[in-house]
Amino acid sequence: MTPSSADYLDIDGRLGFVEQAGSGDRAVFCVHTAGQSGFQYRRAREQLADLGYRVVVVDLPGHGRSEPARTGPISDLGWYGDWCLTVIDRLGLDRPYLLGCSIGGKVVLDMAVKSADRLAGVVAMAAYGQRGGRGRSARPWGLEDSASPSNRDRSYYGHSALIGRSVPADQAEIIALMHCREDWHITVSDQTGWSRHDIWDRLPSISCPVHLVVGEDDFSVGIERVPLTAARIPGATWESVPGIGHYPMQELPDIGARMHAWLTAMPAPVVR
Amino acid sequence: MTGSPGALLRFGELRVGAWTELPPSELDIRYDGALAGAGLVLAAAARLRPCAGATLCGLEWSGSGAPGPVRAMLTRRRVTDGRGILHQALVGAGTAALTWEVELATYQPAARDLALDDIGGVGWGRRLADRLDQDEDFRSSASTFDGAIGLRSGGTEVQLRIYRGRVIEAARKSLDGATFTITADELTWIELLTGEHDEYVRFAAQGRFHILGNGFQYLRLTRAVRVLVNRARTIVREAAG
Repeated sequence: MTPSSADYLDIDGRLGFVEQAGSGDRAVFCVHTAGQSGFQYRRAREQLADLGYRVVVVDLPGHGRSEPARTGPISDLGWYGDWCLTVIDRLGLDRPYLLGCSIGGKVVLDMAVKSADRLAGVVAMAAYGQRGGRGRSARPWGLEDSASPSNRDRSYYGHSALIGRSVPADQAEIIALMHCREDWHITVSDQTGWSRHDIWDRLPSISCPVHLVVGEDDFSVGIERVPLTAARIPGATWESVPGIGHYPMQELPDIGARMHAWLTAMPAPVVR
Repeated sequence: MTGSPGALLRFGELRVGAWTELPPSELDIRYDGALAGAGLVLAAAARLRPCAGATLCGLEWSGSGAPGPVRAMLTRRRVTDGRGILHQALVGAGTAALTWEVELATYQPAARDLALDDIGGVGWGRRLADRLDQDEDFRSSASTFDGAIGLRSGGTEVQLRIYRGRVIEAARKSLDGATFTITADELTWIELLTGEHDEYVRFAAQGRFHILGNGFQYLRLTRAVRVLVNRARTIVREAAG
């Protein structure tokens, strides 16, 4: 088992959970999907550490083992991006690579818009740079228990459908069951953030290498949006992965090797 | 299964849910310009007539046709007042739903055909109701429900009246109407019930299924609906042998 450490960072008076593995010079900073936690990167963490990376996995505020934000559930992915940049500063990470999926993918793109000169590169999975879904505005009743029955079942079946067809049934079951452990107020707020987040006009300003990844079985993203996003980022590349759905880091058995390939294929960033 | 148009079959030989594909070179298109789309639909309908003696008596069409193959699927076969009724979906000429009538002497459906022939019909609903009423998963997941679930395929709907997990009736209309109705076009229902994978969530997310009526109760019965779809697929799979 790869040696690892876990810490709670006090950020704005609330504890944020950070797990680390490996001790290489190259750091990879990982951000999970809506409602979930760093658990999603347990396989990637070990594999990347074995490949010589220092892997940092966070639980966003209100997720996993991190305390909720003072302001309550977050529906602004830019807020998460700022929080992650604070964690990077606090850990003293030097030009890390970013790896994010779904809202995590949008968060790492947001960080690239704001601070590309501090990053070695970004891999955004199941994400793009526009408003998501129908771009719906806030639905206050969506956070009322009285208006939202069967959240556990809806989460289980909804996320089961987002898993790629190449994933073994027992693995898919674990992915779906882990979604049943979420605080759905947090999840709904994350999803609202996904719907609202729009950095389309700022994508051309990203100056670090970017690679976008989307599973071919991921109907929630709309694969056509991914190359459109890549086309707006100078030098960005993208690929679709057959048989994979919305959670590549949990679905791909060789996520570490793939991540390593994506990172080593990136051009060296220009140091300004 | 995909075939190509050949000699016309008889009513009883047809198979609901099978695709027939027609290359554009085989279409005799009579209209162009502003009527080009309609011309494509009519040319395809003439070439893809589902069975001998069938007369086109209904057409719903939207979209526009682009040059390319046209595919047809028979989506319903039933007998009403001694007349055979066939519904057919055309894809590739916009989206069209055609209704055909056939004069019948005698017709006795094979058991294997009953699972798909008339989705949303009362007979189909009763077979599903019998299965659900014996199903512990369904009875448990609907154990706190007192109402009716409507299942509508195109314009055909059956309502399952449910009380404490028991399906106590399948009828065209329950006395108080459906609490909520799960609605889709006939092609979507066929694809849901015959597909290799259960695509209900994907289809719903794509807007191919929508819910009429009480959305809260629909959400509350999420698992019951998933079990219902699963058992309807099982009936089709078993019927196919």
